[in-house]
Amino acid sequence: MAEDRERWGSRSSFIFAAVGAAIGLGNVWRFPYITYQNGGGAFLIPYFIALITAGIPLMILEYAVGLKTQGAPPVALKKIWKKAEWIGWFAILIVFVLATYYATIMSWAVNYFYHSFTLAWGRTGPEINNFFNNILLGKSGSPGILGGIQWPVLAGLAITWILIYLALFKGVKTLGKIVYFTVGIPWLILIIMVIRGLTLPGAIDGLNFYLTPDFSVLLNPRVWLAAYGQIFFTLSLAMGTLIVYASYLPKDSDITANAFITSLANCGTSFFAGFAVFSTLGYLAQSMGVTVPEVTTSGLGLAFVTYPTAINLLPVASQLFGALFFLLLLTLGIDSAFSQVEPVVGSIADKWGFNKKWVLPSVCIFGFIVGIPFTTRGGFYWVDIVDHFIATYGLTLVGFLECIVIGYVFGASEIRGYINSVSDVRIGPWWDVFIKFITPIVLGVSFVMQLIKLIQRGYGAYPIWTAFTGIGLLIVLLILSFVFSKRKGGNP
Amino acid sequence: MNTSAIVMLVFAAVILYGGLVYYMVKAAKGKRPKHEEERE
Repeated sequence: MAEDRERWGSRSSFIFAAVGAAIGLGNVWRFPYITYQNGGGAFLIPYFIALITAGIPLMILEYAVGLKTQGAPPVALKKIWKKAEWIGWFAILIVFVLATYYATIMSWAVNYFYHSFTLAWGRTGPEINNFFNNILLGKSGSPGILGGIQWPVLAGLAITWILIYLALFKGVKTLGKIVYFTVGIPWLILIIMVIRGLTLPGAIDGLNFYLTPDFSVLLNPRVWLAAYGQIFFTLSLAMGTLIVYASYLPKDSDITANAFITSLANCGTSFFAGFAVFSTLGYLAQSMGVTVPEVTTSGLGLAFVTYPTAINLLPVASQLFGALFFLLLLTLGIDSAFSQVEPVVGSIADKWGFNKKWVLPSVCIFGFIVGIPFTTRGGFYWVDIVDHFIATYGLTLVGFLECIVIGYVFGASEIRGYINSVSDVRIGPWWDVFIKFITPIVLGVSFVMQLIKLIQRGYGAYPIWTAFTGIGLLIVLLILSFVFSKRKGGNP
Repeated sequence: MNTSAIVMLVFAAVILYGGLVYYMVKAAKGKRPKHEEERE
């Protein structure tokens, strides 16, 4: 089976695809909003610690598992330990749910792309806020009121899933070629946005908020969990993506260098995108006469408020640049979205031996249907709630389980020996310490402490029942992952 | 910008961009035969 497996066209195709999987809306949409929600510079310290203690070590681990086993996550983890197949399925189910709401964010970008030709979002900060919250999303005011479908968002969702399908149906070699285009262009556009943001009046206030560290937050488990969740989300960790991508590599590929390059390039992009968002936030704060944390309450929609503001303020060709920018968001989103759908398709095909030609459209159609509730007037709140539970709790739980299985059942030093046997850049015993002790302890402690807080107080300003719905969703996914792992496969 | 923000900026830039350049150079100098180029 391994010999028949698809392969990347070249090492650079793989690096571009892995960076493409990693550079996505997570950098330009989620990183700024999570940073904003967790106190700006206060968040950066846990974020960098999460990158070093979990991001890079787990990326090395997932590449190693994919490369060694040459299988999609359930099969790969089963080869590591027979009883661990359910963890692979849990990761697959988590990433499937993630893909459904991620596609909704992309559908917002599709709409903004359309409206950028007329700059329909308005001129001032309040107008831009109003366009996003009331005109595009038609927010119902509560997650308990779905309030009917917002048709433009639904149309955007359909376009998004068609794009994901088209990007994936040719297989990994074509994927490698697509990402050359989709990774390069976003950086050029980001540079222009950063320059525009930094030259606005008030930009310094935004940068001070973004970069000034606050050591007191190190005692808050919520910020730690948010930081680890963001690292997992942005690096596509614990989703099965990297295991699948690495399984398409030849068996003697350099794991360590690939992991360092992709994770540092990714977080470097997030950090850079932060300058565009926070400098614009500084400008908005000054023009509205408020402080930076008071500019918008809609954290999840931060990117859809700040970027249009910066676009409006460009000296020339705002429409053209607006269209280019939202095209950027779309290409970034598609990179990440097909990296989320590919493990689902690969896992089903690997387990039951189905033809990918049929699995792919089925997954895309099912993903579109599951995503419909997110296109309702209450959908925004559910994107926020589901994102919180899937990205913050679901991904960190998978990461924790991977550390336990690899660190204690398979043996961290054994897999490190394998990694060093195929890599130019060698890793030392520090990696074992991270995988066996530091990462699982930090993840486990902050997970349990935050879960207790969540049960007592709920999530954000939402009613307490939404927190139990989120926990219920995770429990259902856990049960399904056990069921899938017990089903007999057609392609062992 | 205030001093602690500047310190954070320098720290982050060194870790992220310095680290990236370091590992890219290290990967480019790798002695291992690159099978993928052979495949191309």
